[in-house]
Amino acid sequence: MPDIFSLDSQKGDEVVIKKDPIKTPDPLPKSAHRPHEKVSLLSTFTRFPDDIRFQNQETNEDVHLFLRRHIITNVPWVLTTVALFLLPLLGIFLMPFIESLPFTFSSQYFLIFILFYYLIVFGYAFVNFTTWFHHVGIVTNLRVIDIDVTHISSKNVAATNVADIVDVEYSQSGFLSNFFDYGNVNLQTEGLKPNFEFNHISKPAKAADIISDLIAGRPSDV
Amino acid sequence: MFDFTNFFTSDGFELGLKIFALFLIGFYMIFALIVFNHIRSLRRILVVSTAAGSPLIQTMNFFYLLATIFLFVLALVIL
Repeated sequence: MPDIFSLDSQKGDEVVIKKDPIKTPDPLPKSAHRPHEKVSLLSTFTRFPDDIRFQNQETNEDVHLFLRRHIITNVPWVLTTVALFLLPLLGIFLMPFIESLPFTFSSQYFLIFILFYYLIVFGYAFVNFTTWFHHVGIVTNLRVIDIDVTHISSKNVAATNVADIVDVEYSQSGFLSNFFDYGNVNLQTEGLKPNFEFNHISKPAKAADIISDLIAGRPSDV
Repeated sequence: MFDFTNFFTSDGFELGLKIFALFLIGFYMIFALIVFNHIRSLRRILVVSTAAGSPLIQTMNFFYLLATIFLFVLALVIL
């Protein structure tokens, strides 16, 4: 049985009672000595990134894990962009039809139309990329932060204390998620607080392990 | 009385096309402004301070808006 209260010393008639601190899972110490990783433009899973800053970051808050959706989740919009980029080339095959029209477009109109078209294609790709870029999960020694950017006018930032997380689980379903090793990590919080979910992130098993180690106060060497 | 049949000439068609093109690019400029503002606001939430991170995104964001404005001005001038 651990001693909660112990007689430390007696000075004359005065009895000094020393109280041991209650052992709670302390936040891990600042990870200055740990190997830091650089976050590149396309990083999806980074341990101890040293170049991430976020809103309301505390001075003693150290980022342990930086998560993004797997890069393979970008394939649909990348393919769409490539298809849209190549679409005007079909105009070469439609040239005889265009020449047979009763009216003609001057070259100025054609130039403006092509520039405008490619600006729209670029805008489509850019918005999709920035949405993916900013849709992240951050695990620090104090909190778990979920930044959801779903489209150009919607963003949602949710955070919870590490101590409030009671359970961590991950799921991978389907051929692609197993092949490319991505999936969902679900964090259950206490009581009525909303649960957290990181969707389609890289290495979900590793992420779940790191988070559960953090909850338990164990240093993780994964 | 205004003769509407004038619009169905080649010049009328071109005028209609010009107005339509300017409206379209004008509206797209509003969309580009919304995107610009949105991405700028994301900089306050998350900063990836490597060179190929938030600085690159914000620079591209600026040039995207600039390109849209440039296209609108170009359309005004040459159409």
